Amino acid sequence: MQVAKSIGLQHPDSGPSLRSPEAAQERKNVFYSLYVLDKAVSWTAGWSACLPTSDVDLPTASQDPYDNVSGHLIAKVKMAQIQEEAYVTMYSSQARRKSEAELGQHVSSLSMMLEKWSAEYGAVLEDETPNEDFPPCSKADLLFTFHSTRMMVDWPVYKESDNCGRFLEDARTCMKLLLRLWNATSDLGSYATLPR
Amino acid sequence: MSQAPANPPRSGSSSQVNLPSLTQKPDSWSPLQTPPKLNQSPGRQHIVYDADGCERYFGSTSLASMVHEISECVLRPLSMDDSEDAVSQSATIVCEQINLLSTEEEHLELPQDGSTPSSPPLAMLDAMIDPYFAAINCYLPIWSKEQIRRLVDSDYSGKVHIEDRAHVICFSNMMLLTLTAKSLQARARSTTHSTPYQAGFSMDFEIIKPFLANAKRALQSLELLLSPRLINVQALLSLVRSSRYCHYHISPCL
Repeated sequence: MQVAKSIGLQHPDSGPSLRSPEAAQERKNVFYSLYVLDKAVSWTAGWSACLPTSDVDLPTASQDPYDNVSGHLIAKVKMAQIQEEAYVTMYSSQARRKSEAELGQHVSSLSMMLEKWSAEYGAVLEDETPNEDFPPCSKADLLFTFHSTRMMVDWPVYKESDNCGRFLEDARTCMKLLLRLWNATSDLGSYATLPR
Repeated sequence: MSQAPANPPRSGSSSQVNLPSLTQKPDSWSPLQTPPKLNQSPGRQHIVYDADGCERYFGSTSLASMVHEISECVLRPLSMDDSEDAVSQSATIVCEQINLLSTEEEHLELPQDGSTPSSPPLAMLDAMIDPYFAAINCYLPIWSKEQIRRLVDSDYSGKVHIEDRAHVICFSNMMLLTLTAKSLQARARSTTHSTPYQAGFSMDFEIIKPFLANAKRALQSLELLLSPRLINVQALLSLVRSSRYCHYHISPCL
């Protein structure tokens, strides 16, 4: 992470203008891959992320978004942001000192973020027609990430009658998606996502 | 999860699964209502003692912690419930499987002989570039095909083979990722179509072993990848990705 910061990767649009478009694109892809992997490691190891969102120059909606970065990678980056927020506000060491009311507020706001993400990507992920921007098994991969993240956000409140059904449904969906990835034997790429 | 399901279904048409639609409006609790009341603090940390007696800490969102929590809070009470024999027996079996999973973690032995990562043979490397970029790189674009081709040409075409450590690690991990994915794919095909592939598994492992060894050698001297170069970042990223493939807990090293 320190190496990436030392070459300014966290500011993908900075740097000499003499850099070729291909080189600039490569740096962006590497940075977004690093960002996504950082959050994935943080989530699965239960540690804080090494590259906090506050320290990076992610494009906002008003800016020219991600240039030629694939739609799949953009979706992953946005989900990684939500995961980081969930970790910091609900599962970090400091979060343990929060009151029930505060944690409840965070559950509400994270659920809204997840709903916004699903509103943006839900239609694409459920559409089975091939899409250049989304490799064949990336849709199942993203759906799995969405449902498993929503479970982690709902965990503190799953016993509430309204949420219990959704929590169980998310769990069943995750299992079905894992089986789908394993059984997609014609696609080598599905085995790239299974270990994660 | 870091392992494929133990007994995937044999039917070849099981890719059709009914999933709830993301585009449906949520019919349960709306986030605009009053925030819900919490039932418990989410998750607990977990400490594990490895083979050397050293403590390993796992945060509350980690697989180790969640599996431990399921085992303690859900399965153990169920397994002690005499009123439902079938449920109790199933819970006991699952508990045992979880304990087996937890104790099966391989202790990572890094080579102490000072050996360095070695370049893959050009023929093998060349054969893996297209499959890797066609099917795997798109999920996490660490490299571009043009970049890899350029590095291979410059490193292998001269009379003297150039060995830049970062290049070697990139080539080796690209091979590792592709070969491991192919091995998993072959295993899935054999279980889906009921064809035996036992002999192939050991051959796969023999082919993958040298690239795993390269990854371990790279970990032993990570400091050589810390100079400010993009290729070093790419090499380190690929090491993290390879480690997640190979069930090694080497994230702390990186």
